[in-house]
Order: sequence, then structure tokens, then C-alpha cells
Amino acid sequence: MTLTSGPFLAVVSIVAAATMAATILLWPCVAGRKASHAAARTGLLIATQLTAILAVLGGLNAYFSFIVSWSDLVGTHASTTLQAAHGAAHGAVAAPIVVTQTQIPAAPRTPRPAASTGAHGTRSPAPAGTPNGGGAAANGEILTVQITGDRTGITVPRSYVYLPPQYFQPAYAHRLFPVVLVLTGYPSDPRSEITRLNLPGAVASEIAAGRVQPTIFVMMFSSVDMPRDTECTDIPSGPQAETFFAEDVPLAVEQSFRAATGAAGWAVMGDSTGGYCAAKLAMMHSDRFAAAVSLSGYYTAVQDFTTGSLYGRSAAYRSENDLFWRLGHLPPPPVSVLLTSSRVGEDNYLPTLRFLSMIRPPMHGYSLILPVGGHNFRTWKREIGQALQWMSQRLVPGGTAGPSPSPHQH
Amino acid sequence: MGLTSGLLIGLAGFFAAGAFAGTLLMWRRLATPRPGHVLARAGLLLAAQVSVMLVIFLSVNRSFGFFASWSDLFGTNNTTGQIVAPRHQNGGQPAPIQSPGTGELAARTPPGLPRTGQGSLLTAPGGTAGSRYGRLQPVRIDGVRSGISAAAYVYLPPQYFWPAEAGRTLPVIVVISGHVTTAGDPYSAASLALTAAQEITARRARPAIYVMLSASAAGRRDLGCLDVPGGPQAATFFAQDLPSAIESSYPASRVAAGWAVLGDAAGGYCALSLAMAHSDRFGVAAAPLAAYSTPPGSTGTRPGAPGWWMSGGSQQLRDESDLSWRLRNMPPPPVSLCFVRSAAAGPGSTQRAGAARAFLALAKPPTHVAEITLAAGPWPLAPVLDRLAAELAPGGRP
Repeated sequence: MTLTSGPFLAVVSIVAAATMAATILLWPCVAGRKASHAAARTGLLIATQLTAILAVLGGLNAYFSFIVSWSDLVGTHASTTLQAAHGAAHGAVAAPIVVTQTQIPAAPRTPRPAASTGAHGTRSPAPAGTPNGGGAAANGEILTVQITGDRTGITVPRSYVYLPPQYFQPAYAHRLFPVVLVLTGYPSDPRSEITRLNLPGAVASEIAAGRVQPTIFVMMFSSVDMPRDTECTDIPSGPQAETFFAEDVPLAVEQSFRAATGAAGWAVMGDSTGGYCAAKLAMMHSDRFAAAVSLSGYYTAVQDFTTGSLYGRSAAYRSENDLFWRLGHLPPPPVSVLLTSSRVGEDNYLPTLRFLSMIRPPMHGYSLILPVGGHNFRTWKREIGQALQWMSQRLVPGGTAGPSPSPHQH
Repeated sequence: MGLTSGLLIGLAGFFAAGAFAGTLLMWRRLATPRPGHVLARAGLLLAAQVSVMLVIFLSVNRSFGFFASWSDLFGTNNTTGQIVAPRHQNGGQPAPIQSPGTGELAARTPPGLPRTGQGSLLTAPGGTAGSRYGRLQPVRIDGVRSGISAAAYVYLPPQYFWPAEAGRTLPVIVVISGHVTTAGDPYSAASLALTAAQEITARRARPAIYVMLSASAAGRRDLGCLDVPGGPQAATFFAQDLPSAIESSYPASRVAAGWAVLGDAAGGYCALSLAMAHSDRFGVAAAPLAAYSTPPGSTGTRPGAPGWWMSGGSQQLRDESDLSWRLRNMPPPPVSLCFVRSAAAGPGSTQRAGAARAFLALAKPPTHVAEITLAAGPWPLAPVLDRLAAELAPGGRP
């Protein structure tokens, strides 16, 4: 039973309702002047409020897909901190990506993209040629996967991979598809990219309209050590989150799918914390990512009780993870970034303008500023189409047509 | 009143407190079984609950900045924006791939190119000599990411010049040496190129591109090829800039299995730490047999010790630069580490070898370790180059 499942929410709601009913029923029994009665009254009242709050928080959590699994909440995953020996010690190298579930998304409906609730049928042999029906070759596929990083020992138990319809079509059998790594905010489950942002639906309709080239999307939690907020940082003597996203994940994806190799075919995108991650990963690893989209991202990670110590108490290392500091002190990397904000309603508006003003070639900064918006999926949904097109213009598929310098150029 | 205004939250808090106190005050008066009283109880409880939930929602929303306005909350805000391109750029396209002599790898001859007896074969311009023995080229590698610019030598094997091999990629061996320009040293660019040419033409080694540069290429202070927090970004130069530059200028392998890094006494730590910390770039490393617990120039493990600055003042970062600490505490990287043993025993060599073997014993799969003994005679590095070329994935059609 996950934290966002119907049964869990039902239990929480029933407890809230029962507590309220009990309070109304027991009301006269504690109506005396005794101090114990007064205490009981206060206790009952507080109990009704707490259970009601729990139900509301559960509902909000389910709506926003903040935290879906219990282990994310309390951190009972197998330790993702440094470990000297793991399964590979016996010589058996585990597959870096294990598919746990395969779904075929609903066909995008025009002019409006697929239902925003992200209704996905389980894999079913739909008859080919059925209008709006069909299998993966018509609608693509969404895989639920577990990704293990060889280099960092980090295992992320649940991520999602969207494969476009073309991935399954014979005409594209030899194509190496560009890849976009999508990172959520903290704490926001990667499922929110499907249920709230409807990213697969938006991608499908953009591809169908010919505005976006067929692309693989890998949707992941930006934290690799839930419930800790790792901010995509190689934490000294701790989880190597930056290495995981910049080395392990790209190599795992390139090994498991017909994915482009090399920076020209890779972009990284994220919202909030995922936006900071996207800009940082691209700036630090411009040999891996050619472009980054930061939706309502920030530029300096805050250390608080959710992150713990991120920088091994090194002020210099902390500076290197501050994107303003990087622009001011390090050579501008050869990447393009798209930064979004809103003139009214978003805290990152002025920092974003400042960041853009500091960018120098070969780095290129693009902005998408809404007149009014917020730090929410409703705002990001209004930006996602343009962001997808912007990324698509900056990515090239790999494959047999890759650049191969002639040996006779001297 | 704005959705995120403090006044609204204060008002909601006032109502919540009032509903709570009011419920307690009215409690005894409503404690009868009359339906009106039961309804009143439910109403009071609901009012207390709703007002407290409102406070929580407004506070959480204000703190995280989810919804900035009422229109945002109720979805009536449908404003959109336009992507604004930077003023200074050419359509946002990345710089084109540059070939040697024009860009990243500018063929500027650094001073002190070593002269050797047979060097003329290698440095002869044009076809025949190149297609027979390969060619040694001086280049300059401009690290766009690290800001480090370094002189280097590139040896291109004969196969590079063969029309039949056009379009094939070649594996790459990066050599980090303290003696790149020391005439007669086995780790000098000229000797390495000659050794490689000899081994390749004799078919004892697979063809590979050699990139040879000084251990101080990234600066004289940091000889450990590390990214020093707030300091020289040598790891970025060696693990990002150099591979990107070589890949964009030569038909070089684009996978870690096709890249090796070899270091001499000065560059051994570099070679191993680059492969261990950047196994996505380098699949094979070779270095003289030693223990490598500290980067060159760093002797202590405590604050204030020589070389402490390289860890940015962090004990944890210092730990990560200790390669035996890495082998003990981090997942073993998928790399092959070859340790080069000198055939002749020198003073203290037994003791050094003992420390080195303790270091090797820490390696667990998928990290593989091997030992190679230098050959006697004029080409001591021949077995090392043979072995590295054999460990590397052969080139292929990209």
C-alpha cells in the first residue's frame, strides 16, 4: 500500500471521520467541571484536528505525488551510501537497468494532448491499425525501471522511461535516439512527471505534430537517497549523486536502449530542485549534456535539515556547487540552458535575470518568462511545449550518420 | 488580499484559534442529546478543522511558493511567454567540430621537441612515411571547460593513414609523464612513439592513437590531476576537455573501453585516479607499482599538512583523494589497473612493492588488477604498450 494509494487515503479519511464522530458522541461524557474532563475535551479536539490534517496532507501528497513510497518517507532503501563491495564481487555484473513494468500510454488526442490524469492501460495486444489504439509502435511505451549505478553503488528503485512510437517502427530500427533526463523537484515522485505534468502526453503530441524529434525521456527522482535531499551533489564521503546522474545513468541508458552516445544527443531537464540539478549537471558535465532546461529552478542549493552536510565542510567545494560562483569564476562551459520563471509569482525571477546576465559564450542562456505563474505543475504545463521544442532543436540523434573525421584531412 | 500574504495567514490563524477556544467554551453548554446541539457540535468541530487546515495550506503554499495568486490556484491564469534568445550568439548552435590546426588542437610546435635518430621517419610530412610508421604531431589542447591549455604530442599510427581503414575509430592511450620532452627517456614522446611504431608494425600491439603530455600540463601546483575546489580543474581537463578535443579532431574511440591512461613516476597517481574516479572515460590505467595513498605533493592526511589545500579544506574530500581509501570505501569502478614493475631491483624496491601489493589486494571486481614487467633493452615500455592495446576494445566503425 503506497502513500498515495486509494486504500491508504481511505483509511486515513475513515480514521478522521471516526475521530470526529466519536468526539460528537462522547461530547456529553466529558462535559464536567473536573480538570480531567477539561483535559479530555482539549485532547479530543486536538485529535479531531490532527486526524483531519493527516487526511488533508495525504490528499495533497497524492495530488502532487510528493512522496509515494513508505521507504522514501523513512529511508529504508538498501543503503545508497558508499559501499565497498556489492553484488558484482562475485563476478556477475547485474544489468544496470531492470524493467519492472511496461505500459502503453493512451494515444494523444488532438488538438488536446492525452488525458491529464495519465491513464495508462497495462500492456495489451491491441489490434494493429485500430484508430487511436494500437501497440507500442503507435503510442510508444512507458517502462517502470530500476537503475543501478556501477560507479556510485546507488540504486534508484523506481524511475520511468518513455520510448517514443518511432522506437518500435522498422524505419527507425537503426536510429540511436536522443535522450532527455528529467529530474523532479524535492520531494516530488517521478510519477508526478506523468500524472501532473503529463510529460509523455505532451511529448507524444509534439512528436506527432512534427515539432519535436522522436526522443527517449528518462524520468527520475532528483534525490538518490530519500528522504535526504542530495541536490545532485557528489557528497564528500557520501552518496555521489552528481556522478550517478552524469556517468552512471547515461551509460546505463546507452547500454540498455538505442540511445545516442555523446553530449550532442543528451539534454537534462527538471523543475525546482530538478531545475538546479539540470543546470548544474550540464554546466559541470558539458561533455555529457548539450542542453539543459531549468523550470523554476534555483542557482544556489540551500543546506538545511533535509540535505544535511552536502560539501564536506569545504567552503570552496560549496562554492563550486553555486552556479553563480561558477559563472563568475570558471570558464563558461559549451552548453545551452533554458531558464523559466514568472515576472509575478516566482521567487527565482530576479536571480534568473541575474544569472542570464552573467552567461558568456560558449555558454548560451535562453529564458522563458511568464507574466504570472507559480512554483507548480500548472505553470510548467504552460511552458513544457516550448521547452520540448527548444531541446529538440539542440539535440542530434546518434547512429550510423555520426560524425567520423576523415583520416585524410592533412 | 493575496494568496500568499501574511495578513491572510494571520486572519486564518485568528479564526483557527477562535474556533478552537470557542469549541472548548461552548462544550458544556452543548452537552445534551438534543439534535440541535449535536449539529452545533459537528459545526463547531468542522469550523475548527477547516480553519486549521486553511492555516496549514496557506503556510505551506507560502513557504514553497506553489501557487502565487488566486488565479494560479483556480487555474484561471493561462498566460504564456516567449523564449528569449541571448543577444550574443549565432542561433545557439554549438561550435562546429574543429580539425587539427584550426581550433582546439592547434598544431603549434612547442619548444624542445626531442630529436631522436629515427625521429625523422615519424615527423616526416605527408604520405609514405606516415602510412608506414605513423606520425608524431605536436599539438596544443585548449580545455574549454577547465580553462587549462596544454602542449601535447599526438602519435598517429600507420593505420590512420591507410585508405582501407578510413572511417574506423582507433583506441586512445593517454600518457602522462614527467619526461615527455626528456631525450632518451622511455616515457618521452619520441621514445613512446618509436616504441609504439615498432610494436604496431610488428603486429605485437594493436594500433592506437597516443596523446602524450606532461604531468604538470594542468599547472605546477596540482600534480595529482584533481579538480581542486576553488583551484585548478585538472580532472575536468583530463577527463572532459582532452577526450572531447581528441574525439572531435581524430577518429578516436568514444567509449571508455577504448581509452587508456598511462603514467610514469610523476603521472602514475594521475593515471590511476583518473581511471578510478572517471571510469566513464578511461577503462584502463597503467602506473608504476606503488601504493598511491596520497596525491603527489601531498604528504599528510591532517589539516595543515602539505598538499592539504588540494582537498579544499575538507577531510572527506581528502579521503576521496586517497586511492586506497577509495578501494576500501567506494564501489569498485569497472576499470583495469595495470601496475608496471621494473625488472631491475633498486634500493627499497622490496618495501615499496610490499606496500603496493597491499594496495592491489584491496581491488575487487569489477576492478581488475594486473602486473607487467618492463622489458630489458632499448624499448622497456614495449610490453606495457602491447598490454594496454590488448586491454582496449579494438576500434570499429563509429
